Amino acid sequence: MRLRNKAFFAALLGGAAFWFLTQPDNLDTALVAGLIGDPAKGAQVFAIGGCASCHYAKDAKGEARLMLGGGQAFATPFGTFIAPNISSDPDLGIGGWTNYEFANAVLRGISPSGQHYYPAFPFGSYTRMTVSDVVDLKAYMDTLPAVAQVNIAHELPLPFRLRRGLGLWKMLFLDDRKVAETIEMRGQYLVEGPGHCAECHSPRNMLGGMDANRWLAGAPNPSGKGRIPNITPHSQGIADWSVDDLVYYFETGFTPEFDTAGSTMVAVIENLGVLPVEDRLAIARYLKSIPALPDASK
Amino acid sequence: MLKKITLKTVLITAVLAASATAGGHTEIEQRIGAMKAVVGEMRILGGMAQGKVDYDNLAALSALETMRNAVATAQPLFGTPPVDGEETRAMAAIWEDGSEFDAGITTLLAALDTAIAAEPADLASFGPLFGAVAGTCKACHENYRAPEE
Repeated sequence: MRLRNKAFFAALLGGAAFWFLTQPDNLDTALVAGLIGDPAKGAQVFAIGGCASCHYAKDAKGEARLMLGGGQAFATPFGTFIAPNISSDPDLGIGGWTNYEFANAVLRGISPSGQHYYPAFPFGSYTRMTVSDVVDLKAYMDTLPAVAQVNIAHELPLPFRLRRGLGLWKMLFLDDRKVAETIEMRGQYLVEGPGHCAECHSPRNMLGGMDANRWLAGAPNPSGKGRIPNITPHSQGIADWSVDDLVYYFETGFTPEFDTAGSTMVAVIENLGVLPVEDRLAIARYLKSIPALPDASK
Repeated sequence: MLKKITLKTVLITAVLAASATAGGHTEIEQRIGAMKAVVGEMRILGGMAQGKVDYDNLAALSALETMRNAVATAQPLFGTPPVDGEETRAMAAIWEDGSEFDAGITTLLAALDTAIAAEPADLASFGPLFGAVAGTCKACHENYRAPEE
């Protein structure tokens, strides 16, 4: 009887600790108060953030790429994630959200109802964005069409279906500090924050956290075949590329060998092409200045 | 005299026949060879477009023509899907999407025909024609080519 009491007490304590540790760590409301978004600036944030690339319908072309009804499926080692509707529809999308709710989602990965988002939504990078960029982004996204589309749920095995546990993931991996200290501040901001390059170009550990020690050193392709390339200035990465080569690649999709970007990088190139040339230059300079690392083994 | 010409024709035909299989023995090896030839010409044309190499209108025209031939060679070689274990970055979507991939190659051929017919005399007229050719590459590689191992 006594043993059972003890076990019950331990379980209760464990449960309470879990509940406490996995609580959403909300953004301070004061950070957003009084900010008014600028949709023109937000259009640039939208491009570097690559929001559309995951949230438009599969195979959307041209204007249809601004219809952010979601529905694309992303296969990962943890299950298949379905992109949600982030169009301006007030009920099915995010049109009804306040600036604060939107910023809390993008910077902290927390939904308006207080649930954790899965890090397939790259808030692990977005958390390094400025609040003013996020508010500008919301102002721009409010100008995009409302899409009345309901998507199917994520297809995840049971342990990952429980969102509360993501609080622990965030405790371990969500970090808004800069990763590599370089003199190229603008490039660093774009790459590590809104550009979220590391989400694909850095390997992840068993729990799906990005490995900061193998930062941008390439990774297996989560959807199966091939590898995402090493983009550090190592001989296995971009050592042979000049800054001009990188900028040309961001504009045209052609490598110095005149091979072309393929797969999901094609959408990234389209987004980079919309940015001011100084931003492409800043990204190139940042990539040439980070530590050179050999290909990540896994 | 007639004999000489016939001999020459036979020789040329033999050389052409040999070069058609120079990329390898299987259909996949041949089309990889043809696509590599496309990249080789792109390097020449791209260097000029980027201003890394001086524009040479004859060299550009010849590269465009060689590239057109290589693309036309590759097109029918995408006829059958690879069997398991064959080394290729061509994705199954090529054969699942029916004629969409083939239409992409046809678009590239049309862009090449336009550029060749224009016989661009200087870099200013070459630039947009090259851009139209180059723009078609990504469009197919986005959905139909897997990343490198």
